[in-house]
Amino acid sequence: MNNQPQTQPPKNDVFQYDDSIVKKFIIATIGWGFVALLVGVILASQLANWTFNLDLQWITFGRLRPLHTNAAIFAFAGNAIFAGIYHSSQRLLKTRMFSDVLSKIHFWGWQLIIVSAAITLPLGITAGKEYAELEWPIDILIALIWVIFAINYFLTLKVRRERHIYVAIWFYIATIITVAILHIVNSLAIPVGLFKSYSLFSGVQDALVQWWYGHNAVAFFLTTPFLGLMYYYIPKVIKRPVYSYRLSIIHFWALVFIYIWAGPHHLLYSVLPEWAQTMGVVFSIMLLAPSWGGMINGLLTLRGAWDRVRKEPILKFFVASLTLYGMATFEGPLLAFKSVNALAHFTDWIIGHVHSGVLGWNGFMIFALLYYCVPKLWKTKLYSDKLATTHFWVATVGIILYIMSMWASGITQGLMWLGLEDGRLMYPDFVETVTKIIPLYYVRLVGGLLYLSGYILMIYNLVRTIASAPKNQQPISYSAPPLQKVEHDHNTGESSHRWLEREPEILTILVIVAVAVGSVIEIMPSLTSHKFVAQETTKKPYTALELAGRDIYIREGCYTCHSQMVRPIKAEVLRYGPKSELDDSIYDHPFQWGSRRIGPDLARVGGKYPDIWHFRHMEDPRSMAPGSIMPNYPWLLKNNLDYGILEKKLRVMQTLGVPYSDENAEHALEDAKAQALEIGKNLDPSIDAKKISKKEIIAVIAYLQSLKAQESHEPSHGETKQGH
Amino acid sequence: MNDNQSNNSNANAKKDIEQNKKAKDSSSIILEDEKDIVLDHNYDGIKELDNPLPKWWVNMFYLTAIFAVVYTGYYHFSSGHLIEDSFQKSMIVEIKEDSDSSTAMASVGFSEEHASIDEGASLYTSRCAACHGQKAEGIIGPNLTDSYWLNGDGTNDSIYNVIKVGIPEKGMISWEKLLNPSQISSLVLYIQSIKGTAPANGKSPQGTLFE
Repeated sequence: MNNQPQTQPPKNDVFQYDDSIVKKFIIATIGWGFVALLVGVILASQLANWTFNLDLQWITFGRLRPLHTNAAIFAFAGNAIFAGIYHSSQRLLKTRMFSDVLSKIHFWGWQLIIVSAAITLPLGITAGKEYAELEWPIDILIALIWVIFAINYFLTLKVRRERHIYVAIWFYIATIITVAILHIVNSLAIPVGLFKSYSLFSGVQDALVQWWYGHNAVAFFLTTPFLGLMYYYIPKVIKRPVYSYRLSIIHFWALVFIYIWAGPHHLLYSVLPEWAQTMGVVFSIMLLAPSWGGMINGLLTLRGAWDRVRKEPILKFFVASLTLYGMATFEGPLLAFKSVNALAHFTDWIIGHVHSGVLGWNGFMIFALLYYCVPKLWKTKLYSDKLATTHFWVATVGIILYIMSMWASGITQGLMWLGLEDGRLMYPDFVETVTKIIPLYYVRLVGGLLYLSGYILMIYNLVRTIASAPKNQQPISYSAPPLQKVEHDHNTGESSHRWLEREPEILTILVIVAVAVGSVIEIMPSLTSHKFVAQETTKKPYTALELAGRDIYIREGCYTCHSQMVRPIKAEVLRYGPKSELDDSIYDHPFQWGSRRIGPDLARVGGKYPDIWHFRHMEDPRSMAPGSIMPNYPWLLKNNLDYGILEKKLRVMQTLGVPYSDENAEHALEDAKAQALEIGKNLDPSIDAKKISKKEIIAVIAYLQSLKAQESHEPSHGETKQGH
Repeated sequence: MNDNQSNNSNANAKKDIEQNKKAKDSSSIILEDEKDIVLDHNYDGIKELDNPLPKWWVNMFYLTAIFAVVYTGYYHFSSGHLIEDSFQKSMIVEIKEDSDSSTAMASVGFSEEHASIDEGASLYTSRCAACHGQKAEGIIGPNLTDSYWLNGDGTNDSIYNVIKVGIPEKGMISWEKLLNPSQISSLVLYIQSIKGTAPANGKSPQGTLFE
């Protein structure tokens, strides 16, 4: 199409944008956002009052929490990103999307993924890695749909009529490329069945990959695409030029290069080698300026239009969104300091931090986008500006209550956990540190309810807006000349970045290089080290029964409340036992170090309490630990354990390098049954040992009792129950 | 390639284009002092200014980079600051403390000096009741109100010792690190004070009778 002779002025192409795909994604955003917030409110109520778990396995906190996070990130933010990308890219590139069919596959495929997530997560089908809980068939579907999206997008770039690509597009490209890499690497696993797989990595390696993914899901799913949206919608709405082109170049490349290194700040004081931890810290601190570069470029674009912020709700959302982005990206580096992290890690402070990001930065940006796009696309006026303003204030008060209560509760937890007096714990009872913050959980619940109420106002407002749209709308046609081929001529005085902006393929390659550098330098040494895999350890693998229990632990989402990482901090060692070592999780596919302590750490719980204690505690936690907010798990006493699959599980673990002998695998069933009967007999004379030994609870007890420190000098321990 | 619908109503399309153009011309408000720095960029009406990087922002960036080097140096290139080192140090301090003052007290064992039944009662409810029952009637752990003892002989020193070191093989943890000596003594006093209360649903006697 570019072969016309250069002398002739090109004839304009006439074309239309595909706005129906944008409308689809917008409606999906509105719907899924409601689900994500509603589930969040339910979870908040469960923490304030445990009875809201209703003793139902499908809605118990541990299973519902992954649904909340996945819905908020991938369904609410995800659909909004796609709506914004499809809407803005077509206009920025002066072309319709390359293929309507691919766009539609992308849309329906993504909704299918979300529906599968909404079904499988409450059923306990989970890979057990935070923000990547979906099991392997869904993971494959995600990869496929993402690749289709990428193909459609890059082919759209190919047929564009705008020579240079705008900064928003750079951010979209970084998103598309990096999310694909992160998702594929972190989801590598070997299936045991259709609904169960074991992560390819274990222990510290799995942790490193997971948080490289987890942190960069924040970076490349919740930050870069939103910066792209900001760069399009803020100048569009206020009709002001972007403050600084140069700033956008510098902060884009700095952000893309630096973000990828910051993941290990989620693993401070863990058994991750300390040099990698330090890299995580310093790169987090260096992220401050690149993040703020986006914020100030947005805020300074409002120069001369500040009076309009008072009147226009959309601008209010933009300003609050950017401000909360600035706050969260200041808080992030602060939390990454080792000394601050010692206090804040595992506490509610982190929960407050992510919510200022998602409710504030992402949520408000999405609301601005919706209030702008819906009237525009449906060719009508917003039903009520007043309602939108009310939405803004209600949501803002909600966020403030949420963040403040989580700060207070997080710092309270941190201080109580670490508090020492005369070399002893000041609050040795973990429950005491929980009951103390319950009032704050109620405040958080109110914050969440306000945010949800504001959201409902928005739904009403937008539905009324759409209802008022004129019928039989004609699509608008646009015209632009096709791109002419230009000789690659550097002598025109064009800057090299300006040149790069008309070579999206090269820009894409540079983005890949930028994210690869940090990834390779930080992750490869640990992934290739023999120290971190089975070869040099004396640790015995889990027995078949313990492994079965571990899978139930994962299924129930225990990791959403319990960590398994005793940090090398005096108060932790006093509270939990010997600090965690590399070997402890060396066979853990996936690792279960966790990121929260709503309940106590469990890495050393083995042997601390008798079997019957765990039995009673799972049935009714408050009978053993008055004041506990843990849900009841009555179904573990009723469900029969699937003994049949144990051999298969051990075989898969064998392929992953866990040193089970063939004999171990062949005898998995008998061994497990024998161990279960032993535990059953141990419980209480009033409990029928034979009957109870068939139940899932026994496997869970076996697993929990296996969580203990390795004996450092181990020669004659042939008779322990882990005796394989 | 998606232009097939647009051929039919060219006239209509042109009108739309005109309107569109009008909208675009007014789309960017340029302030007086910005006229010289508007770049020749136009993306769907979006213009860009050639403002320099804010100085304070650039300085902040440099500062964080310098800080990164210093921080890394502090932890990795000067001795004794690694997490493991400071952890070991903090644990050594603890052992010293113990050998000076508090173990001196602990080694005495039971002592009535700072103990009180009231403190013992509240400690009992929060720490012991889960296994021994709210009324010490015995649940997982034995009944503490009768005169039968599984471990030791029911004297103050013996009960003190059981609480202190625990009976790990039966599931009772050592409370030495969680309770200080006077708290353990308070518990002993409380347990002695409820002897013979014979609560309802009491667990039947276990162990040896000591009168």
